[in-house]
Amino acid sequence: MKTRIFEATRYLILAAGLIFFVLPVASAIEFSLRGYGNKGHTMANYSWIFQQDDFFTNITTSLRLAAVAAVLTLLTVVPAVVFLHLEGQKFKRFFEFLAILPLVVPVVSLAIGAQKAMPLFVQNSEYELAFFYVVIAIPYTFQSLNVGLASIPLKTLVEASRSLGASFTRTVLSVIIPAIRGSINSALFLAITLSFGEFTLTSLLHWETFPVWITRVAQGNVLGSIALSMFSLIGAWTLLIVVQSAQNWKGIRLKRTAEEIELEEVAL
Amino acid sequence: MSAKNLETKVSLQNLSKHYGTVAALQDFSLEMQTGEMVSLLGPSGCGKTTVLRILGGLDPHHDGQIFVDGENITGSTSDKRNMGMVFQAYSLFPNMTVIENVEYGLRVRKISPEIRRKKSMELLEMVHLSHRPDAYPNQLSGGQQQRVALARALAIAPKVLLLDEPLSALDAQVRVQIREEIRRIQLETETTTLFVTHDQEEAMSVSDRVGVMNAGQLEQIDSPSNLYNKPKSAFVASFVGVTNKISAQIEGSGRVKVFNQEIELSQNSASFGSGSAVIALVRPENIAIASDADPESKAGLIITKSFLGPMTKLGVDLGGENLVYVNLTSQEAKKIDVGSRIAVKITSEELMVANA
Ligand SMILES: Nc1ncnc2c1ncn2[C@@H]1O[C@H](COP(=O)(O)OP(=O)(O)O)[C@@H](O)[C@H]1O
Ligand SMILES: [Mg+2]
Repeated sequence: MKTRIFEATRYLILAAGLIFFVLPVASAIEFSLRGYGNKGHTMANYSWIFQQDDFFTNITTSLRLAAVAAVLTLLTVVPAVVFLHLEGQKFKRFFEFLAILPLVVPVVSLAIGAQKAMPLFVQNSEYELAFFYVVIAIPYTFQSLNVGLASIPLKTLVEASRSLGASFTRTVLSVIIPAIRGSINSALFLAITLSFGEFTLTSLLHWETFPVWITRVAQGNVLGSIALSMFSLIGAWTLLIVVQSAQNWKGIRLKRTAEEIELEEVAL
Repeated sequence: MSAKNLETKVSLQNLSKHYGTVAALQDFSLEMQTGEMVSLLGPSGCGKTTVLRILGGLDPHHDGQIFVDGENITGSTSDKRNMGMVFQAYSLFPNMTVIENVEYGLRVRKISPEIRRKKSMELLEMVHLSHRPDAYPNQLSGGQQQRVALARALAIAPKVLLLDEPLSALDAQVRVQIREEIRRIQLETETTTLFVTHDQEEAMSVSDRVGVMNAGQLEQIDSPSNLYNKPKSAFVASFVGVTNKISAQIEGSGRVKVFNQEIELSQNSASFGSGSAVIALVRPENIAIASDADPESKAGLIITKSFLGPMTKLGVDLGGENLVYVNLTSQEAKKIDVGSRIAVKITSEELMVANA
């Protein structure tokens, strides 16, 4: 009868977990649908969101910054971690430690210190935020890529490709990157979500993005701010689902058509 | 090897390689003829992989020169050397199908899609995998993956095929099967091949010549039968084939006393002073049953008996430290049981000895 008790416990834990997770969300949704003075349920709070002048401005700003942060991650963090695995085994420990630092260093000092180090062409433009977001996301993006690269026989794959006549660049682009595409996707996803949700540093530097804007308008409209939170939550889930299915879709994409392969070849 | 192929394809001259103070390779030289299959055999850490990697251009920091087809390629990188490599395991590109893996080198060389597909399919046929061109590496067994790796390496029509223990991750049966296939394909394509292994049976069974390595040096390179029958050193004698190690004593004038026999010392043995205690190296098939009455025979107790098909191997306690193994035809061994006593005698005309 032990197994029965075990089964029951399992379901109990599952149920408790679900309640813990679902109940607050469900309550919040319910709350956000209430009309003023508890008069039935209405979509008024949600339509209020879209009536705000700054809603679209801020959401596009945040999406744009997230996209830039993702591209920057792809162009800087990905090559850096690949290079670290290929050539810098001796310094790996050190860089793993460095990659944790953004978690430890207070955002305030990052904001003040790092702003000075920004490339000139982005200083005083909102795009400086994207650079900060990349840095803040490094503990997560680095780890994701680190694990991905550790899980493939990198050295052998590189040597096999090189001995077959491929240049180093070609080897990275057509062997290594595709082999860790899953980790790259997760890293980019992390960079995007962290950028999209970043509040502290952004508001410290007096920029307005979606999260900063939410906090501001929330002070004037409690129900509306709950509706906004729900809206962002659902938005984040949608994004998650899109990225996940993009990863599955990749499995199908692996069977590239002859034309695609030719295109890739021209590119190389 | 046919006579027409007797031209030098590869010449490795005085290769040396150090890791810190460790000498991985010391003054290593080797010539390979066109179409020849040479194995490098030796215990783990003796420098086999180092030789192969230097030839493949994967290890640019070394001393010595490398010539292929008479051209000095010492300074060129691996992508310029046109050498196919097969690694121990897990070297297929995981994101590419079998056929894409095989085509890779041809794509790099900008061969047209139709031609490279045709060529790759031919190679897949050769390794018996033409029915799975669209499988991904993780859908294949270890043996199948190594066949694909072989096809991929051959696709570029390599000047030299380099195999670094390609079978060591496979189970015994598959190992034997694939090594036969490697040899068949190697002969068929007349590809000059360097095969690295620590398995002496593997090396002996598929190679034109086998080079035995020890501590970063080439001890002897010769045909398998010469290595077995005329080893140039005690190391080679004990590394190649099964060898009994029997306590013996050097007598004057180049003879060695083993059991009750005195036998000529092999010219290839190191020299020892008269009276030195040494180890005689004797093949199991060079020990035969003798009559008790023979003053040169030695009697002992049979401890083990292993049936090996046509042959039977007896383990005999002759009073030494180790059991002495004797190979008899199974017919001869029929009436001899564990626990009984027999007398034996060494039949070799000369013996190799080593330091005791
Ligand atoms: N990257 C390395 N760093 C330090 N020592 C190495 C390295 N690679 C090989 N060695 C040393 O060089 C020697 C020869 O190695 P290797 O050629 O791999 O031997 P084998 O293939 O015969 O087992 C060994 O002593 C090994 O420990
Ligand atoms: Mg090795």
